[in-house]
Amino acid sequence: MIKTENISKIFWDQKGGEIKAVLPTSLEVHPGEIFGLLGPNGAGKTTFLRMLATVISPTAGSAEINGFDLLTQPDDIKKSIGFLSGNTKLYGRLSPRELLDYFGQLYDMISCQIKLRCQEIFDLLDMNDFADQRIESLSTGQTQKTSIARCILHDPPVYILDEPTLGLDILTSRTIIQFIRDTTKTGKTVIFSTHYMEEAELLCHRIGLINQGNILDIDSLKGYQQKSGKSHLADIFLDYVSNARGIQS
Amino acid sequence: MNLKKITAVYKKELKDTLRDKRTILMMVLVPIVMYPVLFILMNQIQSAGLAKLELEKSRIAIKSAAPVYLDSLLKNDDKLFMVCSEDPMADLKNGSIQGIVDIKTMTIEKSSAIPDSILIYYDGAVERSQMANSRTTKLVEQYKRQSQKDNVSQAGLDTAILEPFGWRSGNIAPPSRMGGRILGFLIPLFLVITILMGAMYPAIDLTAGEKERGTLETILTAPVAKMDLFMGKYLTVSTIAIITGILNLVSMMMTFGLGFIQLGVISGKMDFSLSPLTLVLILFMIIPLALFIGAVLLSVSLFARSFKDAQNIITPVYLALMMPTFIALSPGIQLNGFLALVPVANITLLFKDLLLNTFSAENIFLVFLSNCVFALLGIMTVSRLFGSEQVLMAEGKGLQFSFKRSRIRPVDVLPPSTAVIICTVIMILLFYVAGVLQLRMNHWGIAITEWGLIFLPVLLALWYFKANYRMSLHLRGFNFGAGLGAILLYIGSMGLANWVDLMQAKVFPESVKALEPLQKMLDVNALGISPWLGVFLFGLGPGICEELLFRGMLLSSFRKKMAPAAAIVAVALLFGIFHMSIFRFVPTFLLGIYFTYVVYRTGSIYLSILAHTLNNSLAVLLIYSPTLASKFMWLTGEKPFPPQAIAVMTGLVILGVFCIHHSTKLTDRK
Repeated sequence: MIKTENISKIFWDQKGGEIKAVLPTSLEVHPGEIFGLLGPNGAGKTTFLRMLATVISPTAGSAEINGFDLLTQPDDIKKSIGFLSGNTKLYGRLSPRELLDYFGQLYDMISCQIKLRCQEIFDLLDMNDFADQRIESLSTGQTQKTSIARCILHDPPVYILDEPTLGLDILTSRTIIQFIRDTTKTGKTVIFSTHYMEEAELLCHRIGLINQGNILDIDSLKGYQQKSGKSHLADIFLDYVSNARGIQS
Repeated sequence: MNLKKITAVYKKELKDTLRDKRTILMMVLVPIVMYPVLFILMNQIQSAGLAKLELEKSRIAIKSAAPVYLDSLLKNDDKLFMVCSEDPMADLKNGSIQGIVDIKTMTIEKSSAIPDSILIYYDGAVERSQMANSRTTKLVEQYKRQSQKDNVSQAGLDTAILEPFGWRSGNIAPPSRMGGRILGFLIPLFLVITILMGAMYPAIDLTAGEKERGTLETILTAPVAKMDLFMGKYLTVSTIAIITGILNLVSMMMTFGLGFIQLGVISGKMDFSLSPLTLVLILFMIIPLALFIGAVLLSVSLFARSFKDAQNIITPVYLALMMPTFIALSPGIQLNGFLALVPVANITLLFKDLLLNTFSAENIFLVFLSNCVFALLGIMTVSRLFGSEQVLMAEGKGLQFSFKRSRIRPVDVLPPSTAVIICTVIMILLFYVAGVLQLRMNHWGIAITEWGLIFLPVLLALWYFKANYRMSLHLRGFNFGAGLGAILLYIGSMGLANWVDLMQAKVFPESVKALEPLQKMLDVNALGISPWLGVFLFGLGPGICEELLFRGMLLSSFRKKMAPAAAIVAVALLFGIFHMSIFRFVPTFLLGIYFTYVVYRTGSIYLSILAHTLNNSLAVLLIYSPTLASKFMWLTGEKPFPPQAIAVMTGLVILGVFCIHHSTKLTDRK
């Protein structure tokens, strides 16, 4: 369960001017739901998700994840989420097993619990072959699997995924899409961002269209199709963007 | 702080770091390989060169005929070779000969044919020629002694009168102390350098490296406090630094021990083995050194965005850390109460003492403590910075400053870091320029210092950073209650500060002497100016300028980010340090507390300007007028401080605080 209330972030540029990365945003994502944030590069998706993941703090507004307050209970939030993004790189000089062991300790898991959970994950993601190799020697796909393993280690109820398939080949991104699908079956909440329209069409129960820090609309794919009379999400998105421009000018 | 998580971070980082080849290289390979190789190489080159020089004959030209005995001495010496030269000076200059023996004989009719003078020319810049000089000198002296003996016996006297007494000088230092002298130089130097090199890679790797590789964001999504994360990293860097130090020391000792034994020549005079106690103490002192260096390096590299960036930033720090070592290694500098508090320099000096066996337990304690305290202070400060988003997430920004004013965003007050930097710059300016100015221009020098080096820079800084003058300088009025309170409080605290000052003078009599130059400077009679000009120059000037700096710019900046007590103490501390005298520190710090408190509470700089001016003017007037001074004998220390005065002062302080508290309201803090 994710709930945000007018959460926003302002950055300062070099000239001292304001750059509004994310305008006040309110939304709710429910357990068992996959919510997609769809928008071009620089739309503010990453900033929004980073705020939810407590990596950066919001300039204004508040949010609640799994019943915990973003501003006052960041540690509880961290324990309740699995955050995965293109920026969450792994320690190359550790093996997947050592990495999971380290993160397990940070998540306050006891050592036998960590061992059991590791084996479970290695079987689930088919990682047994490379579980003891150094991460720097792994292929992109194997590394991404390790990232997912890191993300699901503590079995969080909420997943925050920032462009998890960016730059991956079809096989590897398939692994991730499969993983996202499977998690919601167990009642997890998923919020993820992408700029691949087809991924959003395939996975999301609801989609938020985001451009220049603004959420333009939130609806299901069917809803969008009915509203606009167009079938492809890409066309629908372009309509929204040009409408928004029209209003501005 | 969560000890379990710090341990988890520490274990992981240590494992991670030890898998980094660069770290291992610096930590293990360098010490194990470097010393023996360096030593053997140096030894061989040096001894080969020396041996060659020893074997070579020196080519010497003799100008005019030498007396028979000297001639035979020179010709029979197997290290000298006589040559004929047309122009010996030119030959000596071009190096084809190494020395000239010029024999001047004025009186040919002298029967003994003893020359009037003998001149030996050599080229001091050429080692061969130096050697020729010492070889020739020895022979000429031998000739001289022989001539003396001949003369004495010719005169019918006993040659024993030439040696009325025997003498020799004896070195009481045992070989271990002779060795200790050399080790006392080498060990600190090498330890500081190698610990720096050893700690540098992990320090950069664990901060800038982690930013660069993008793992920082991953770890920040895990539930670990930034403080714990930072402490784990710090412990890792310190561990590596300590291991590096120990390995280096052991390798160095083994190399010296073995190496110099092989070099039989020196080993007779010097002993490079350490007593177990000395060795243990040196090993023990590696810990604070490593803790301090680790703290500095980790703090600095935290601000870098990449490995390369970090290396650029660290280079000047590296030099800055080497500086105390070099200073401490200069001859004549001894570990004293003050130097014991200067990190790195104090360890270097302590090493020297340890190796010469002149250490005291008290110094070991002081040195250990001061390094640890400094390291801890640094780490605490930086770990707070570590929490800030700007430092952590500065992608592609790092330590980039934009100097264009147009790019600067207006602020109410300066951020503390900027304010402290400006204050430091002003202090450095004062340190270098003020002394010269005041020496050359007397009282006008002070005026230039105050207005030109304090007042102007503060205003310029506020203008440049687009700060709000009113808020930054506390330009606000005050009500009657606050004014009254401030004056009562001033009289009370001035009196108490004076009392503390006199107490201090009793404990440290040298403080009175240290203050003499200051009193001379404030003496308007000696300067030949009117007391009112004195009050204007020494009272109002500092009152306005220093207050704008401390109670204006610094306080307004600190109060935004710090708790009230912390802000007040910090400003007062800087104010105390600003006076650059260890003996004035305590009284100025106390007065600083008072000034800062008043402005903090009332929000009005005018009150502290008034008090500061009054305070300085009082000093000027007390020195100016003996009649005035005689009325306040207990202020100048001529009479004991009456106990009832202390009671009255304390009463005034309480009354003043009460007045101020009742007539002011704090509005700027949440």
